[in-house]
Formats: sequence, C-alpha cells, structure tokens
Amino acid sequence: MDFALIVLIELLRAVAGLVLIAAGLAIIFGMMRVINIAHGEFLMLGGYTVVLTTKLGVNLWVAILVLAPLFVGVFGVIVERCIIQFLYNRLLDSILATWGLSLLIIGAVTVVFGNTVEGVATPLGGFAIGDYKMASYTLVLIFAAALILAAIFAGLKYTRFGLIARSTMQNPGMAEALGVNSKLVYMATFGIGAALTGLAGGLLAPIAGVVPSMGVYFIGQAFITVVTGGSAIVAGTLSASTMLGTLSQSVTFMSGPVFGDAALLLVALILLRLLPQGITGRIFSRSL
Amino acid sequence: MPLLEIRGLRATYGPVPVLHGIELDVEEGELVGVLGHNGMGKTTLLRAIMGFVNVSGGSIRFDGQEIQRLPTWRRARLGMALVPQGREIFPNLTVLENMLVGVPRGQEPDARIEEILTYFPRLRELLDRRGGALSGGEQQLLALARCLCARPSMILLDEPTEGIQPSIIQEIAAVMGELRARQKLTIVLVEQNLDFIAALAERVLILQKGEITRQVDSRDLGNAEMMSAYTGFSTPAA
Repeated sequence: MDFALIVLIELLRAVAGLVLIAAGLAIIFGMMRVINIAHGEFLMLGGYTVVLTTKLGVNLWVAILVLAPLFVGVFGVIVERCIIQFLYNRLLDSILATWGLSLLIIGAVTVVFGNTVEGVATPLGGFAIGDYKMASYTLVLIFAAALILAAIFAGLKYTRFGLIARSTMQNPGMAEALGVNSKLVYMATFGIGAALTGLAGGLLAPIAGVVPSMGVYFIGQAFITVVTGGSAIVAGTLSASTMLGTLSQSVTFMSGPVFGDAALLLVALILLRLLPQGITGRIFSRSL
Repeated sequence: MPLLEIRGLRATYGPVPVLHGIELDVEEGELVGVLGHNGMGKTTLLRAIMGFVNVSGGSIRFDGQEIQRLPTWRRARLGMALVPQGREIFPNLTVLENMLVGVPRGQEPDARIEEILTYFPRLRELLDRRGGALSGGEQQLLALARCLCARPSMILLDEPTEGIQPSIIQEIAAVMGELRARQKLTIVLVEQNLDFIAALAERVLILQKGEITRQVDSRDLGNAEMMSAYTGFSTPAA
C-alpha cells in the first residue's frame, strides 16, 4: 500500500514536471504559433534568478514565486519587442532567430556564472510513507503544476484579457477592427508565456542542477508535450503530460531513466502518427 | 461638416494602383451605397478607410480628425466599425464571446449584449454555439451584431448579402432600417445586390477602376437605361 502511494506520487511528479516545462510553451507555441527555440534558456534564466537572488539573501519562496517569473517575463517582453514581433507567421525565420537567441543566452550566462552546476537546497525537508521517505517539495511541484493549469484555464476563459487574447490569436486583423491593440496583446501574451516558463525554471531549480546548458534537456520534452497535446492549451498540455509522464515514469521504474526518456519519445511518435493534430485535434477539440 | 471626408485617396496593392484619387463625403446619419463590379476597388476603399490598406496619397478625415496615419484599432475606438466581406467570425469563440470582443472596455457588457440581441433575436438561441459552426447567414448576423456592440457611429459594410439566403437578407435590411430609425447611425454599404442597395441607400456611388465615376439617386437604380449606361448591371426586379 505504501509502495503504491509512493508510485502514485512519483507518477504525479513526472506529470507535473512536464506540465511545468510545457505550460509557457503551450502559450507561446500552442497559442501564438511562435517556435521559441530559446524556451529552454528561459527556464534556465528562471533557475539562475533563484540561485542568484537567494545568494543575495532573498527568501527562497519570493525568489521562486515572484522574482523568477517577473525577471523572465520582462525579459520575454523585451525579446518580443526586439525580435519576435517581426517574425510572426515567419516560421523558419523565428526558428533561426530564437536559436541564435538561445546560443546568445547560454554564452552570456556561461561568461557570467561559468560552466559550473549551481543549486539551491531543496526546502521543506521530507516525510515518510511507511518505510519510504519522500521530499515534501515534490508535493509543492504537483500542487504548483495543478495551480498553473487552473490559472491558465481561468485566465483564458473568464477574464477579458483571455477573451481578447484568444480572439487576437485567431484573427488579429478583425480584433483590430473591433478596437483591440493587437501588438500590445501579442506582447503581453508572449510575456505571460515567458513568465510561466521563468516560474517553472524557478520551481525546478531546487531539484535540478542549474547550469547554462540545462535548457537543452528540457526543450525537447517541452515541444514533444505541446505538439502531442495539440491545439487546446490546457486540455492538450494536461492530457499529453499525463499520458507521456505516466508512461515515461513507469518505464523509468522498471528499466531506468534512459529507457524512460526513450519511451516518452516512442509514445509521442506513435501518438502523432495516429493523431497528427495531437490529442486535442481529435479528443477535447472544443476545450481550451 | 461631413462625418467622413475623403480627398484624393490613392491606394496600391504592392506596385499595383487600386484607388485613383477617391473623393467622398458622407454626412452623419446618411446611408451611402457603393456599387461596382468585382475588382473595381470597393473592398479596397473600405479597407483603406479602416486602415488595413496603406494609403499612398490623399487624406481621410473622420469626425473632423485626420486618421490616415492611425492604426486600425485607433480608428475603431474613434467610432468606425467594419463588417468585412466573408464575415471573419472568430470560429473558436462562441457567439456570446464573439459579441463580447466587440464591447469596449469599461462598458457594462451584459446590458450592451442584451440591447443588441433585441435586434437579432435569432442569435439569442445560439449564444453558446461556436462561431465556426454557424451557417453563413447566421455568421453575417453575428458579424453585424458584433460590430454594433462597439457602439460605432459609422459602419462600413462589405457585401453583407453575398451568399446569404433571402430570408436573412431581409432580416439584415430590417435591422439596418431599425438601427437608422432609432440611432443616427452612418453606413457606407458596398454591394453588388441592386435590390438591397436600392432599398436602403439614399445615394449610390458607382466605382469603376478605382474611381468614383457617377453618383446616382437610389430611385434611379430602377431606371434600366441609366443603370445600363453607367455600369452594365441588370436592373432590380420590379
């Protein structure tokens, strides 16, 4: 019974991990159709914000929940104004530009912090389930992932900005004809996607080594999750994360993490062969 | 002073000139029709007024203000609205959400939607349906309702009867008549449907090859010889 509970929590942690790294990309790529190759570096910047500010004496939770999303969100707005705004509907150009941006960020961070692994201590200690011990922070990650998805859903469904953003992404010209400043909406939406990515980077900092090249590990999983999820941001991210995270973690339990990652890729390939528009292209197609 | 004042308006699509010095005055509360064959520049004229087409010369004044350098959203906030050809409904938003996009920030949306639905009772039953799932006629009603949510003082209507069933054309005509009777709404109507334009417009401008070549009293639209001489259009049914 204890073991089953531990397995369940570990599966939820795997799902939450995918939700966290994919949520910002679901907005930037899934909603805005911008392929941001620098997504992993946005995560890394969130991680470094936490490392740096906690070293300066800032409370860890303030660093994770406020400073990381704030810094990466503002950085995202600057990137949108300086680069991305000229590249909407220019897929190849946006890939090249954000790839260049990703290399630039990795280079700049390496120059400043060096190519060494930084980290912060995992807070909250642990708890026991029978003979097994588990980090309490795992529950924080699961709760945070659920909260982020709920917040995205509520923001898109029940706020005026969410409605305006959805209409603008569907038809920016018509939204403008109804008085919507579409440039501002694009900028803000990109900034929100970047802030969520920064938040994810901050949340992952205590359990992952923060290093300039850490984004490379996350970006593949993030894109696979968003593409597999399909067009619906919340339902797509949740369904793809649940499916891929559960399978990947189950294989990890049985055969180790390398096979777990391979299983994630294999399942994504099969799913996209069967459902080319992603899970929500066929199921939950009317969801957000 | 006219609500809309256009002087020497020129516009191009890339290197191709489309409008050649349009002169047009529209008074407040007036319904002006623009008639012309395909490719004569009717849609370009409306899109240039709304700010979607770069103007290469001339001026556009709306409510006394020069607007040709303003972005589309600023023009919309000044009180202009466009119902485009092809409707351009947001397909993944519900009917209610489509209308809510049109309600300006700071206004009470429920009251405005309720007011607009009195003109479009057919939409009341469709509020939760996705815009993309509506018929062409229902989408046209929604496009009109959505633009009215913004409380515009002038509407640019681009071929609202195109591909629409006759019962809905009558409904649109009735709504426009009612709107003009209740409010002092100014309308520029681009059409190829002579019956529709003759029934509604106070005067009709003939647009040929990017120029306004004639101005016709709407009563003369039934004059076969005159219309044939002007445009080659067939006359409306008696």
